[in-house]
Amino acid sequence: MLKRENLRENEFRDFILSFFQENIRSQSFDKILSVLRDEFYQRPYDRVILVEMYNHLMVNSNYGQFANRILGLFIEITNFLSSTALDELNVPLFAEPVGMVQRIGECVDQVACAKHLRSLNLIDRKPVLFVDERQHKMANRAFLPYIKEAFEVLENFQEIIDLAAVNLVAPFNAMYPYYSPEIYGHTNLFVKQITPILKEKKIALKPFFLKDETEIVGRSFFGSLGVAEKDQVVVIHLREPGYFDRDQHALRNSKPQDFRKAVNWLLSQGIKVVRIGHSDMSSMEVDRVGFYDLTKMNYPPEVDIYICAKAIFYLGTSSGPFSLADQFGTATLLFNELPYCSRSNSLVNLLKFVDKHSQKLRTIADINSIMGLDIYSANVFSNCNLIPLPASGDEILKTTKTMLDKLDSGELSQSQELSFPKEYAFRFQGHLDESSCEIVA
Amino acid sequence: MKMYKSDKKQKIDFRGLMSAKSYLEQHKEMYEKVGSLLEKDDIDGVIELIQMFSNENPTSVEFLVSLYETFLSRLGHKRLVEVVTKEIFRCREILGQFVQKTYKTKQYISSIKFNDLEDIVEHAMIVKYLGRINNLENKPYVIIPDLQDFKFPALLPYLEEVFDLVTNPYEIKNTVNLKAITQLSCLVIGTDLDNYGAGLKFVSLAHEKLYNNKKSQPVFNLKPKTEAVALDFLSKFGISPRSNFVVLNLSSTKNERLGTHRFEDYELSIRWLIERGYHIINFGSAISSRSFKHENFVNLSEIQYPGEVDIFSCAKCNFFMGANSGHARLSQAFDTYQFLTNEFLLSGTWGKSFAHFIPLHWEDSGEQLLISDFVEHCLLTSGSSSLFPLKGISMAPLGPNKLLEITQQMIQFLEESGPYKTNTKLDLQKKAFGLGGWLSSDTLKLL
Repeated sequence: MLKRENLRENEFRDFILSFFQENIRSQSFDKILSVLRDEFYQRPYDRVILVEMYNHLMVNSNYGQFANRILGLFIEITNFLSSTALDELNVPLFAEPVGMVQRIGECVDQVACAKHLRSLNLIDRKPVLFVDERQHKMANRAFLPYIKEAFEVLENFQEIIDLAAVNLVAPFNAMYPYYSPEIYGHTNLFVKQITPILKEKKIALKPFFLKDETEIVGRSFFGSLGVAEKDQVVVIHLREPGYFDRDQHALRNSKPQDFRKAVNWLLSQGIKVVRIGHSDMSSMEVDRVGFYDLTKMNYPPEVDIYICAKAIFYLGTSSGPFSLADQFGTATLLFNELPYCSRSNSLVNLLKFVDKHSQKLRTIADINSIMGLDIYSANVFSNCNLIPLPASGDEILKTTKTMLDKLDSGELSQSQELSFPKEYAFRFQGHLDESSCEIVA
Repeated sequence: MKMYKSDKKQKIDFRGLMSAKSYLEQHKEMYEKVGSLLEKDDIDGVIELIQMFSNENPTSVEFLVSLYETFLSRLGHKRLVEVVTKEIFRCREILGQFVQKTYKTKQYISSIKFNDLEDIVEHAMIVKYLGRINNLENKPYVIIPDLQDFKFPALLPYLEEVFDLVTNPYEIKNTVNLKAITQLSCLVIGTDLDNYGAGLKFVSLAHEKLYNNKKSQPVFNLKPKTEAVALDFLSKFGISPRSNFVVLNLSSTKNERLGTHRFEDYELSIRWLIERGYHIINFGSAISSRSFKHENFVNLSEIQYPGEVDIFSCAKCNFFMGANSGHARLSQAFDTYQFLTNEFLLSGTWGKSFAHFIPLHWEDSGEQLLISDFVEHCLLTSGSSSLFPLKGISMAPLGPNKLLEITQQMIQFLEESGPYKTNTKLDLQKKAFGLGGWLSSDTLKLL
């Protein structure tokens, strides 16, 4: 195949994507990867196309494992560029613009992973992160001091211009961290893969601690609502449409009404429940003392961080606030979790699927053989004739009770005895609820 | 797979774990240190500092360029200019090798001023020469963001031979993002560590190298379409392919600043040339040339004409006459003669130029500057009039009679008599000062 250094970016994109589409139909994975390696080492500055291929496969196909190999090539080339530039040109390491600050979950997990990489001595400096709110509004500006623990944040526009000449000569991609040829990938996967390594090296799994500046604002706000510091509080966040709506995220959304029984039960136990989220979320129709629905209120950005860090546990679905709570060391209770996994210090209810024709419940092993365990796009499941079965209100109530028991007994901090194949055992660092254990076998 | 980690040990203070702040801060510190060493007149200290800095920070080349401009245009300090020029060139070499090894992208040029014919043609010459000396394998990208507003569309077919023209920057946005390492700056450029220079100094060096290797050819060759369109227009003024004509342009950005070319001073010479059978095609000096009337004086300064006329005229004239301008540069590119009066830039002294240096005098002694003074005070490369008061130099542009005398020398030169022979005799002395081309008799006396 000819070198294509004289093609413009759009011409190269057309060429390589049409090659990719032609060969993906015949599942010529090794051939594709070999050509991609040759081509993108010749045009490494176009390597972002590899991420587009990865995303395409993750959203539209059941080739999850092959998608990960493409992502591995992207990371390999990025690392090659960075290490060469740092060695030869004495330039700062620059974080690539991957939409970190616009989404709180991405932001928290990416900063956490960057902190882990520094603790593991895999990066020797803070990558430079441009934060220009004229272009991209931050999801939560109060998180900035925490970002600065791992990144050198630049907000002064003149400094951004002055550094334009060396920007991205040595790129760092925070969304797809790398530890070894086996341990790399999107932060959501990486935090589970890296957990045994962190444990072995006695590095904190949950790297954030509440700062005074956050605590002062949070305490004052909740004080004004009548929530005292000694009160036991559960924070609840239930992902709904209206914030970051892409088809592949549809299965992560839930119906708040399904959680009403669990919330009422918590309130009956004297536990206060604080609901966070955006203003377009539907009402939970809970009208009891001790329930605080902040979704219709304006409040300082520190409040979300404070309550996620201070709650006795987080209840809800996998979303940005879940990462916030998790990375501050708060126990988490997740429902309808997809892709199949569990972080440490969590109790997880996995989203179940039945076969459209046989109505048979699919196990984790079944799903793995069909599409791998990284895909969560609704249309891929639909194309594979898999119908989702979200947890019912009763099931949510039952698992919520279990969560409180596990917290009281300290069981959550110990590992759960489940027999997973070695291939994907690393994904399950936390606990699974009873119904999820049924699809382990 | 390697990690995002530099394995190199720290060698000197400049080399640490580079952060954005420290990257920016070190430029500020360097300015302060250089300033303080200059105050103490410690030139050796400045040189050592710059060499140490550039050794460790090849991507800070734009910072070195700002030092270069200060040394050249505000200090006129030959030694410092030479040192920083060499460092800029060396850094660009390192960046070029890095690009080849890692990013493998083509280089791109962002420094062209698209409303300035002189600048466009100068860049084209540099790139073409680099290509011929085999230091450039691929045509570099040049972005013309507003093609519909581009003032010189007739030049596009010529530029396409030299550059990979891009009208939509998004087609190469990644290349542009890698500014420091992919930029091919024509400010300081070279072929190797013995052959580099600023802008046209490089062209001069490269031209000589190519000439010696018998590879000297015009940068542009006239295209039949250009010729047809231009002749169709010029025939209305009595110009045919067999006509003898001179292209005149007394306007340039530098001339406006220095005021060294006044049309009224040239009238005598123009009449003399017309009497000798030449047509004069005038492209500049709109207002002052308005009253000059003669059927062989084609005054295009205030009328609309096709862009092909500029190109054809410069390519096919007997010689260009006037200021070191875009038209002068076009003539250089087509390898036609240029008669440059009131010149003091190195860019006027290469190939087929015949230059007369502007008489400059020391204000204190009244003595005229010699070429060695031009060199010592960077007047051959700076082009900055701000150096004159700083150095205590006054200038006296030529009057009509002197201009006529020099014009007559130009014709003698074309006939290979008069100054032609003296130039040949003094070739070695000229080369010692880096002067190419041909010089008037008065200028030769300054050697």
